[in-house]
Amino acid sequence: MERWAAVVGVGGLGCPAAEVLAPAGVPLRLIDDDVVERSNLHRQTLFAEGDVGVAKVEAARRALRSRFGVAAEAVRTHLVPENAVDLLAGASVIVEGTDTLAVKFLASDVARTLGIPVVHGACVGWHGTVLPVLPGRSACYRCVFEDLPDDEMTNCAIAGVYGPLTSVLGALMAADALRLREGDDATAGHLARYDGWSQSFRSTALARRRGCPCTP
Amino acid sequence: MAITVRVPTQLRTLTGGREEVSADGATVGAVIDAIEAAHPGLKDRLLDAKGIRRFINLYLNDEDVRFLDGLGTAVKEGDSLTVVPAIAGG
Repeated sequence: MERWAAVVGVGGLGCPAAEVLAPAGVPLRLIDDDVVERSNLHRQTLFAEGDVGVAKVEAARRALRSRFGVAAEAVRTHLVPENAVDLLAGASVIVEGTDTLAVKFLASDVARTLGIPVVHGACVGWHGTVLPVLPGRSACYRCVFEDLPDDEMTNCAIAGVYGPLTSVLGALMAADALRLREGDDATAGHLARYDGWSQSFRSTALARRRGCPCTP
Repeated sequence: MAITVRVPTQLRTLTGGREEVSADGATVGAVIDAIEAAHPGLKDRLLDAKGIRRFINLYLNDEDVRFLDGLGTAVKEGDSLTVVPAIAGG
């Protein structure tokens, strides 16, 4: 695949991001190990009732083919340290929207090591964030959040996710991914924060953190 | 002086569900002490023995306080302090 993008996490954020990127002509590698559950359907926009129980990457691959006529690569696995470099090497950009903080740090570390732009996204409750990163040129995920939390305060299972929020944030992630893969750094290192309750949007340019592995 | 503190979803159980609370203080640290007095337990979610927890960001208006004077950053009437934790979910 030429100038392909890796979509890590094909859920509430990965689905709408893929729906933007695929018809824009970006070849996709979809990486996820989960299966579609009925509770996913209100926000994971590539899936339908008949997909319940099917691997998300396979259901997404089918949907992208039927809706847009594009062939995406489906890789059913969790992203873990043992496979991350092999799965992400060669990508033009990584779109990371997983529900696991450890995977966010892993994707960030691999993106930095391989020099691949990455867009991180997350949603909990009514709140979502997007952070596009150009390795070596902008603040990275570890510049913003230094390390894994030591408690469960950030577990999305506590607060759930307001369905429409993920489509807003997923589209924003795709928009940033399209820019990053063209070398456009206008939003790189800007932490976008969207509050769906008040419909407020803020974007803050962040400096690279001294002591971060990404900073010389 | 009173400023507005914006509380993320995950911590609103400590503020009675309120997204915004008002607190007095001359510095970010003093504001956090004030909100702790009104909403016990909140300070521990933001700070540890070394200062601001590593997976928490505090923005005074749109500035990350780590790049200002940290907990000693002066605040003024009408400012807003936004708590942004690392989150996962989608």
